[in-house]
Order: sequence, then C-alpha cells, then structure tokens
Amino acid sequence: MRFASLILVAAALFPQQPTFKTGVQTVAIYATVRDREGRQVPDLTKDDFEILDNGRPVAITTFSSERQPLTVALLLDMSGSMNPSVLRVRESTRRFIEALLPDDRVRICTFGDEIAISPILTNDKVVLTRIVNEELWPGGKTPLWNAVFAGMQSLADEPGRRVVLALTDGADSGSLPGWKGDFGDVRDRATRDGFTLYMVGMDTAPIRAEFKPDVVALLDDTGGAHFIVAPADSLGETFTRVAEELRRQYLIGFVPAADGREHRLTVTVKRPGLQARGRRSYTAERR
Amino acid sequence: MTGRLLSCLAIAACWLTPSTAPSGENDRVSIHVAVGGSNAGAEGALSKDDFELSIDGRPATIASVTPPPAPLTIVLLLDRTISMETYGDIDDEVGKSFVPALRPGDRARVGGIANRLALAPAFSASPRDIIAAGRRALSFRKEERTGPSPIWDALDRAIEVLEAENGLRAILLVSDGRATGNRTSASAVGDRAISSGIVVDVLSGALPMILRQNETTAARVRPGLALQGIAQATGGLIVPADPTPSTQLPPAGPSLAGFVSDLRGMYTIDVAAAGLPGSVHRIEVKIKRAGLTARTRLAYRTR
Repeated sequence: MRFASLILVAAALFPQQPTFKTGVQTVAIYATVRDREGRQVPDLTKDDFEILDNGRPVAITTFSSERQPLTVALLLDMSGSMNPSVLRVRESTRRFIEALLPDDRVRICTFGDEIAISPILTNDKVVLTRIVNEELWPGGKTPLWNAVFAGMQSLADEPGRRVVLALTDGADSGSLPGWKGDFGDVRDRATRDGFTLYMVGMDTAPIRAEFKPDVVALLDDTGGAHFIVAPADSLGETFTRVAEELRRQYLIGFVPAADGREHRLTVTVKRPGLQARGRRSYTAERR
Repeated sequence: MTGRLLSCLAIAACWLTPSTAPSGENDRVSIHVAVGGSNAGAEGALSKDDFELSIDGRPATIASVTPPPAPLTIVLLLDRTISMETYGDIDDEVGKSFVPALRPGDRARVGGIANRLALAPAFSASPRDIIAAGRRALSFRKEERTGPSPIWDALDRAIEVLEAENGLRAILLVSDGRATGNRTSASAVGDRAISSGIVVDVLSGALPMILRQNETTAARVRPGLALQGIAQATGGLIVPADPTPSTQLPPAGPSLAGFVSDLRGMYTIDVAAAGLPGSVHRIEVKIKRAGLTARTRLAYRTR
C-alpha cells in the first residue's frame, strides 16, 4: 500500500479516459480552485495550472475538469458528548445521502464505544439510509485518529481518489484496544498513500469544536479542508458543500520523481485572483 | 427507523416482502404456539379442539396438534462486543444455566458476536461438547470486541444453519441491539426468521435513553426496539419486555433457562399451506379455554 497513490496503470486511476498509456506512474492531484469571494471556479484548462515539485515545474500529463464521482468514508462521531446532536447528525447524514449522484460511493462509519466501519461501500441510497437509521448509537469516548486510520484502511484497495470525511465535536481521546497509533500515523498514512481528509467540527455546547494547527496543516496537505459548524448552522449544508467541492475538483496528474523521497507540491493557477488547493506532498518510489 | 419497523410488525405481512425463494415451508406449515395467561400451567394437555386458527383473518382447518415437549434445536448467540459489559460474565452462564436447561434429544450450538460471528462448528446434544465448543467460540481478543457489532448478520447466519434442521428451532440472543457494520438489515433478518418458522428469544442488554437535543426536542434512543420487533414477530420472548431508562436488567442465567423452558412448553400446530409460492399469510391462534392465551409467529410464507 506504500505507493497506492502512484498508480502503475493510469487507466485504472482515470477509468473514463482510456487514452492513457499503461505502465506510466502518475501522481494524482485533486485541486480545488476558488475566487476571491470563495466561489469554486469551473472551466479552467490544463494551461491555467502550474505544478511545482520541490519548487521545480513539472509537465502535466493528465488533466480533467469533468465532475468527479465521490468515494468517501463518512466517519460520524457518536461519542457521548455528541448526545445533544444525535438527531441533527442523523438527519443531516440522510440529506447528504439524498444528494449523492449515481456514481458516488459512500461508506458510513461511526466511532465512540467502538469503531464501526460498514462493510458496504455503495451508491445505493436505500442501503445507506438503512445504515443511518439502524446503526448510529451514541456513547463512549472519541477515538478520532483510530477511526480516521480505520477509515483510510477501509478505502485502501479502492482506485482513484479516496476521501475520508470525519464529523466530530472534539479532540481525540485515545485509541481503542488493538491500535497503538496516533495522529502521526494518520499523517504518515494519509500523505504517503494519497488520501484526502476533510473534517467537520461540530460545536455542541459547552464544547467548542476546534482543530489544532497541526491537524489543519494535515488536512491542507492532503488537499482536504476543515469546517466548523455552529449550533445554529446547517450541518446538512456543510456536508453538501464538501460534496460539491469534491465533485468540482480538477484532476491533475504528472509523472513523479523516482528517488524514494518525500516531495513538496505546489499547485498554482496562473490567472490572477484565483487560488488553488490540492495535496502538498507525495512520496516518490525508488526505481 | 425503529418506529417504522414496529409499525410494520403490527401487521407482519407488511414486513414480509413477496419472494419466490425457498422459505423452509412446504405444503404443510408448522406453527409453534406458547400457551400463557392466568390459567397457564393448570390447563392439562390441550387438544386440537382447544385451538382456533385463523389464516389471513379466516378460520383455517388444523391438520394436527402435537403437544409438548418437542426436541429443541437451539443456537445461543452471545453479543460479546464492548458495549455489552452489562453481562460481562455471561460466558459462564452457558455451562451454569443454558446447558443444564437442555434435555436429552435437544441439540445446541453456541456462537459469539464480536466484530465477526464465531459459531461452534456443529450442533451437539452432548453438554460437554456444547460447553467446550461454546468456550472456543466465545474467545475473542479485546480488539475484536471494539467494533463493529454485526448483530443482524450473525442472526442471519444462525437462521441459515437452523433452516437445515427440522422440528422446533430457536435462537436465543443476548445482545444490546446496538448493531453496526451489518450487510443485512434488521427487517430482512426478521423476514427470514418468520418465513423459516424460527423462534427468536432475546435477552436485551440495553435500556432506552432520553437524549435532550434542544429546549424543545428530545431523542428517545431504543437499542432494543428492533430486537423486540423480531422476538414478537417470531413468537419469541424478549426480556425485559418494556424497559424504561430505570429498568433493572434481569440476570442472564435465569433468563436463558426461562427461554428454554418456554420453548419446551410449546405446542405445534400443523396446517396446510395456502396461496401461491412466495405469498405471505397472517397467522392468528386463540385458545378456546378461559384464561389461556397463545403466542406465536405473526405470519408464514408459502413455499
């Protein structure tokens, strides 16, 4: 799994673009572009982008501005402190499911007393709704990083973009028996294997959700983002916003280095007033 | 969901979706009936004339009535996930309470539910074998108990192994109903259990919770509700029957022995199956003698 993000067969990574040659390694960047008002910008072309690998420009070998289907592990914090939000989470998740498009696939997961990763990754709204209706049980602590790691693991064999979207109201309270990892392990796995991480922090009085700088940095590094939802805000709208952002990302690929080292990435848009956000690192395979 | 599930259970035909899959029913349907009521235990043996059977609301002819006791074939499923700390020592009750309640001719198989179902390899009539195989099935590492809790998948598998058996078949389930990580649903499992004529008895390890959501709204979380629906629809028992947040959970041992005793007291009514293959038929059984009531599954499906 170490080089899961470096797909040997490009056609597997970009199944809708059969013209890519096989046998070519590609690093995929899913880039979000926003204007000064924060609106996502569609309709850019390959020539509008520049990719810097350790500060040096690289040739873009793959590009798509098509709407991208989602493959998401949705992690729902069911720790005891989420008790006042159980109905809100359930209803918002149902709305998220309702808004899925035919090619999207979602896996519903919960964490609290236990970490429950659904074995089902599907676009079947009836099945997903059944899981939300039957399998959300509040109680326990917040094994956040344990759950995020398990969420990544559950998508490890999936091709293409893999997104872990976690909803939580607080900080990690330690892992459950059987996993001795921590935030560092999550960071290593996410950056090494090219997972995109999003987090939604839920204010549940008296707990104020906030993410530490290193967490925010990790989310940014993976090309993801974080949101804070106040008690009066719509959680459903936040979920929808994340889904829309993911669907409208640009898919950009380039041929990676072969030095076995960690590389810093920068994605920029040449047009003025636009900002691009995408993964900020990858680990090159040694060949 | 659970509210909707229960309303469906009020009329089991709502729950059972038409299917042409084999259901364990053939041209004859066996209906197991537990007799209760204020005069229960003093009634003596009941005969065919004491029962009144309705299928889909119309009187039906009873082919035969077999009085108890019938040999039992039982799968005992114990939920060993971390949220079931309530019954932490329940493994011991297999040997202390469950197996001693069995009689010669009964057969049993023990299974444990953690992040997977571990089921003893075969049914056995030997107390020693049941206990030994059960102990192995219930040996989980701690990390296997921290999720998920595929209770419905485990029930589904238990039903599957019982479908290959004959006679009075039952599942005794000890669980808090906090099911997660399932491939199948509670309603699908209930459907299959009713169709197969398998009785599901439940010792529920969770109480309802009232969770305040805001100044005007509270969420009532009832993990045992789906379990209650399945038990009632299959003619089984659930204890505690109607728990509140302050209900004291009953001890496990006497509950398991009580389930076996209840099963042993069941009559078996045979009736000719009606309707097209896959059709679902509502069952109602009454006892004509005063002070006696009947408890049975709510429907059958014609094979």
